[in-house]
Amino acid sequence: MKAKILAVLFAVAAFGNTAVALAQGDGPLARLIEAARREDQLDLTITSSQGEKGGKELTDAFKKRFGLNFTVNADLSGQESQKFNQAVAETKSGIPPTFDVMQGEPPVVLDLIQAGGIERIENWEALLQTVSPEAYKVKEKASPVGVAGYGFVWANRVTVLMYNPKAIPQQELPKTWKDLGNPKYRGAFTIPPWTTITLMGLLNYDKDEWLEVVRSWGKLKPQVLHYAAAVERMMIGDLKFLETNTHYYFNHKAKDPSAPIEMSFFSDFTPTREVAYVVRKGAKHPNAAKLFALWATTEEANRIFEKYSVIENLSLGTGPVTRKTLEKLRQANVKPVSWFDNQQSLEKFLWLGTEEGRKYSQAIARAQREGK
Amino acid sequence: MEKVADVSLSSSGVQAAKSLREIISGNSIAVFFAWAACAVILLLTTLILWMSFSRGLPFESGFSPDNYAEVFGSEHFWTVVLNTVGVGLGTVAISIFFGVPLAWLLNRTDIPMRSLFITMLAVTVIMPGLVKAMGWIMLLSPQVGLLNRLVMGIFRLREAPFDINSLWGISFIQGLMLTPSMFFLISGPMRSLDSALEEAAEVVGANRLKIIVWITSPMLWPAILGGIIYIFMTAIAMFEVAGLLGGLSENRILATEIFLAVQPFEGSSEIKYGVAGVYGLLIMAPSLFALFFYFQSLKQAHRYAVITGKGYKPKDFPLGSLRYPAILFVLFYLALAVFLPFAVLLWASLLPSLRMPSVEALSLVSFKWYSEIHYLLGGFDVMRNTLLLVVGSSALVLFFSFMISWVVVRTKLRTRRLVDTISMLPHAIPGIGFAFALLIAGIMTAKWFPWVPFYNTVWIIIAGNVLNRLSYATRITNAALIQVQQELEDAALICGARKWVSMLRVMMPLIRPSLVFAGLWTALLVFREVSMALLLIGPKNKVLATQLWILWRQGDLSQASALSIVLILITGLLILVVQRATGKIGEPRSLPQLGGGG
Repeated sequence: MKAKILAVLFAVAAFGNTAVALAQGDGPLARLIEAARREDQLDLTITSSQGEKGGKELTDAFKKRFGLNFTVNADLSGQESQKFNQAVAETKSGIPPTFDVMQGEPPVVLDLIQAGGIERIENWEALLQTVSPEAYKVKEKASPVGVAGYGFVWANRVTVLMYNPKAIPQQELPKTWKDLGNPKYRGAFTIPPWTTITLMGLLNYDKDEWLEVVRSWGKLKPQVLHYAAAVERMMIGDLKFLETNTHYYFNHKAKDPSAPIEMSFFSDFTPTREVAYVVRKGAKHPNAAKLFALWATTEEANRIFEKYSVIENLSLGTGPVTRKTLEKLRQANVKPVSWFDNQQSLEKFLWLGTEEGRKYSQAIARAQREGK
Repeated sequence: MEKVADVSLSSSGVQAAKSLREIISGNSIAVFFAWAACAVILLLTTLILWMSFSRGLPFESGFSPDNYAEVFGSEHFWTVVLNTVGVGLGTVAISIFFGVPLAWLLNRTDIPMRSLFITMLAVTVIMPGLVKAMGWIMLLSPQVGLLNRLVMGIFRLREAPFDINSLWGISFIQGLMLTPSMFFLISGPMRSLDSALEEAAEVVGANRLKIIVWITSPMLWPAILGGIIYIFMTAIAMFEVAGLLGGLSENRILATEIFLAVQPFEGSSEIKYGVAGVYGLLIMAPSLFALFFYFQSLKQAHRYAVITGKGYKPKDFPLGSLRYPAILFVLFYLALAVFLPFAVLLWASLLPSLRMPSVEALSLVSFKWYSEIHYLLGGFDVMRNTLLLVVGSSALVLFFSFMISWVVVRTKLRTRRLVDTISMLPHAIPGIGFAFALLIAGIMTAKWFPWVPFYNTVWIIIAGNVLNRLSYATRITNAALIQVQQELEDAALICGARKWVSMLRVMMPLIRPSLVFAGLWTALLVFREVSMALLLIGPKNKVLATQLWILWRQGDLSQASALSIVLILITGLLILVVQRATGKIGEPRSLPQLGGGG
């Protein structure tokens, strides 16, 4: 017991010393910390799955790491699309942003970059190397091409097939996304009210072929439901399976290991989406914001994110949740795909922003909801 | 010369003071505040109209009819309209079926335990709609519904007889949810009915049924009509139930189409507020049409004046042998709308995650989530903001409603009908549309008047709620003021009271039960309102309703249920306290006893 207490005291002292050492130097990081300290506040968004308790633990750890002692106002309400849309409106009207640092997925991040609402961290590589050496080792994933210097990945959302084993055995599940259109699955599954994941089919299929695949799902008239509602309906046996993020699996299993929920993978492709922190242009507390965006990529932050949000960071690959997912992916022999895997993938994503791409997105939306 | 000037000055000063006194002592105070509220409503409505012609943000792009082309050109347009009307009418039918008899039984009869029953009705409002819908899915889902299974077993059916994922399912649940709204809308007028008219009918030999049909119902007609319009307008703008029961797929209605416009299906941050604005205006159209009939009934307002200066005294209707069927009817409604959702909430709150009832699930029951309530509540700031939101919104809603109703009912101004129509507009516009208009207004305020504490503060949420709830509260205050005859106010004026004194000292106490109902109901609705709050919250103006939403969205229905149970118990307790403090809302005898007789 005594040894444990001593170990804890030693760890605390060592950690405190690190914070002091970081702040006392004369390098860019020390200047950033000092500037952040003078700003004395940080307003940010945190993913809703983190919860109040997890949000507090996260921001406390951030402050402790850099020896900061200021107010952090965190918004955990989610609504990423709306928050980024609001940020675009603020940018266009020229008023100071509500949040200093925000988190979101590629489509909303790129929209805000395009609107001029995100500030690039100029010497981000040098700073990342000091703040998060582990993320620096995989810097092309931590701040991938297309958003390099703007967005800093703190998590990935991996889309899997979630099912109720009491309602359907694993061997009867669809093997590929294409199989979802089999009439035997009528009434068995739901689709979400968005096409963010569906559009990622372009990473594996020809666009006309993929449109036909999506039409085949729509023809079965599946229910359109948000993930949370769909998962609950699946767990009471009202639905058999659905596509959703691994978060729901880990979250329910953590609370109740016997919960009737299991996950499987589509063998043709497994979509993953990076979730990145971005610093708002004109932020009231820009230095604290930059510091947080960079720190969010660390293993330290990842541990807290995994503990509460139960969400992976595939680029770091170190947390327990990430390791479990990677192991399951390995067992299923499935490779996750993302818009930021390579230049070719990114170009496909950017094509969706063209007039032709927008029409295609609309066609996918119609196919998914109506089968037309 | 100086003296002349002095006299002239003092004379003009006296004149000015006199006219100022006239202004503030007449109806002008009411007119001023009523039009101030109307001006804000009109401003925001104009912003929504503007948005409907804009493809981007209202202040950055030109006018375009593209949003209208997108909505009217949709092959599903007529399906959406017909489904919406069907759901609206179905919801109204259910809420009338339960709401009107409940209002009569709990306000005008000697049914026992009415305070408790009324508290239960009020408490239903803060139960999240999605939990109620989940409860009914557990009962009436064709796949797993317990009730379906029971009926199938008894009658040896091969297919489930009920499918909750349908338009009737949506109407049924919404009808149960909105019954308390109907109840509270007509409770005030119901309590204020002059029983002398009923007694007179009884004296001439009319039986109880005839008295209800021919005496009580016609006197309540303006309140009932106001309630029907309100319920219809609420029903066609409600998302939470339809969103869970096929509204986003086959059972599409206007509210779900609005949701899809602001939650882009194509997966970008480009939110189609313009399209949402067009759908919002489509919801407004039938509402305005319904208002026309409402105003027709108001024209006959004097016929419904039942509180007079001549021996007004409400009296309970003795139920006699009908007492037990009456209690059963109340319990039947409470079972469907209160006990069932409460049981589902309780069940969910005791489990690690939602499951159908079974022996295995029973073994998982624990109070784990209740031990973490302090985290679920979100901290001191959230509690303070919520308190400010609920108290501030209710007080402002009551104040502006009274002012508006005064103008509408007690003045002969030519614009009074216009004021009433404008006060109903916010209800015709879905909350999300209003919230976006407020968001834009907030951004503009921050741009042009950065010193005004509005954008990202709790005041922007209060503003949204006040405007959104005015229509509801004005239905109550309108109906209440209609029932107070002009002679009472005239008597006060003859005795030398100023206009505003008669408003505060005579009229307000007379309609106090209606005001207390309106305040209480507004507080509950504001407390649970989440769609506007979600759009308007920033880092420093979080409220409890959004905490609940966050829990649900992150897949923690069980924690959300535990928090709901705690909030229901606290709210129920508060309602009981308010009932005691304000002279027992549940007791018609608490109405002020008027002097004089005749």
